[in-house]
Amino acid sequence: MKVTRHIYLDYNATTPLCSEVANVLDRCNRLIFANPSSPYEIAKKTRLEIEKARDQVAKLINCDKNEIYFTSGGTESNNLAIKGYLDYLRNLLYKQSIMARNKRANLHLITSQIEHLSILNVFRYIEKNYKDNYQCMVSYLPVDGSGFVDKGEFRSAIGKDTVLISIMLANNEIGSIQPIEELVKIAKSLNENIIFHCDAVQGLGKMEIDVKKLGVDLLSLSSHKIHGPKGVGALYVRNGVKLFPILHGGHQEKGLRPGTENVCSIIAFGYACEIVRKNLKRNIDIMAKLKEFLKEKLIEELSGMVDLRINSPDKKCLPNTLNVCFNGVDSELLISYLSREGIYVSSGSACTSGLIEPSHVLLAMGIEPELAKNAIRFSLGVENTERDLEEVVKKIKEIIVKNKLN
Amino acid sequence: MLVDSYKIEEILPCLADPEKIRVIASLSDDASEVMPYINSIIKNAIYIKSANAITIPQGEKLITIHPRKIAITRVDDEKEAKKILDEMLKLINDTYEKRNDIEPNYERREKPKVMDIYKLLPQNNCRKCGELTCLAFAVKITEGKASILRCSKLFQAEFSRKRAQILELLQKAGFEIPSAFR
Ligand SMILES: Cc1ncc(COP(=O)(O)O)c(C=O)c1O
Ligand code: SF4
Repeated sequence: MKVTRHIYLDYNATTPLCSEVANVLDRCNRLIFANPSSPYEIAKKTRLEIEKARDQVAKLINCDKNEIYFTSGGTESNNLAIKGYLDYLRNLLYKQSIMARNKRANLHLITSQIEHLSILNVFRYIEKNYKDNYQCMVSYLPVDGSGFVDKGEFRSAIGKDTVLISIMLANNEIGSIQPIEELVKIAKSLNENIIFHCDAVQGLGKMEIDVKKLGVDLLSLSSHKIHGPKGVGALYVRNGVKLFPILHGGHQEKGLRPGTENVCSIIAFGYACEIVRKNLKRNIDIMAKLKEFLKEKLIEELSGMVDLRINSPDKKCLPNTLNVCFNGVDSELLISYLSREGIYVSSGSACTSGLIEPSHVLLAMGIEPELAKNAIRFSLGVENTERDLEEVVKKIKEIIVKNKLN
Repeated sequence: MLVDSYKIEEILPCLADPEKIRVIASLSDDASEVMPYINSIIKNAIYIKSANAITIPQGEKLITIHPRKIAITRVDDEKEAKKILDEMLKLINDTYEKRNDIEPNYERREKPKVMDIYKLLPQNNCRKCGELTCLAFAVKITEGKASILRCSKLFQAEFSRKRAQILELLQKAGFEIPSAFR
């Protein structure tokens, strides 16, 4: 079948490069090649460009530029934040224990059940492998039916052994935005030594992020979710917070992230941040309107045919994310039919065996396993139009009828 | 005849093994009715009534029949997929013809015992899972109607050992445990 037009509704998975960023990338690739660590004049230019990018990222989240460390993306930032802090802490405790003779301690870590795999799998690894005198134990906090961490549960989970908390800013599958500012206040009031990390990968470009306001110690960012290149991101490390590197090598990024810098991508990421900063309010408005339009259309056109369940919360939700269960409609088949029409959406669930695996986020929200397999995630971008969305709803209707999917 | 034909809809790389493919075929008619009968005659099948799906392991391949589709993992190529799909269509239709002579089986084989799960739950009836008691929750779990994630107590640090045991038990019984918690 010939597809004439593509409608991309999977911006939470990744975003296309915007043309300004593509131009910057192109210019860098052609003109900037010197290793920023080299001693001669042309290397200085590379250094300056990287520092400019650092400044651009810092401005977007309101921090000092020396608190930004470039990494290979959200996954690495998350790994570095959690493992880097625990390695530092375990080393510190070991040194102290030589003098104090108490050579054992349990370290308690807190996260939520709905984090991205690049958080959950780090914690699973730590639970299984950090088993020496400083054994790490993890609490995975539940969420309510709308995908929010319960503040009461959060408070009661914190104990005297709690050393590190990692809660995401906004969820990639359903879009719920956690009350990070309040959670940080609760945590620090109970124990001021707790380090708070926040995976803000999905928040960037879709909501205001101010690390001073949030009060977090560590915060992860990724470039490819904001129309920047893939394979680059950053970790915000509040001044005064100490981490060990997880890669070992040279002195780049103050030794915390050694390896010759991904120069052009870093520069382009900086530009992408600058563009986001200029357009943020406008973009949020556009996306929110589009999402409302899509939601209304879906309800208007489909509610007689299939039971719809909107999984994304009404309030405190990313302006672009709408997760919907089409009760009884196999989401894998629907996605496959839509893709043949040039329409791209995702289910948010991974397939690991023959069975489609229902999303852990939806299960954590208490959605029945069977219904969770009928979920479709629409994640919009400012490039989408109401006409596109009308077309998408029309096609979904056609596909369900034609293939008797309901 | 119950199901008239299949159509291969999607050929994807197999996530578990990049050398192999995963094939999804749609069915022209609903195969739900025959599943309990297939469950009865294929001894190593895993039937999940609530999910309306039956998985048949074949060597390292997993073939899953859903109401309107068949998914196969770890397939060598399209030719092999077609062969398997033909077999499955025959299985569905042959079983359907013979259904009056077969005792349907609505149970999941190797279904974990309610008490085995209950023993590993925190057992303090805190109701956070939405059930009145841990026992009621254990029943829902064995029926595949609730996810183990809903027992928030179990996901507290102090229960990490029991959590690992329960997840292993469920996984062995063919339940879908989100990969992040396996
Ligand atoms: C919430 C969240 N965290 C982390 C990541 C990983 O980011 P990256 O793809 O840059 O490694 C993603 C991307 O899907 C995400 O949605
Ligand atoms: S949440 Fe867990 S501990 Fe509480 S009643 Fe339910 S099963 Fe029992």
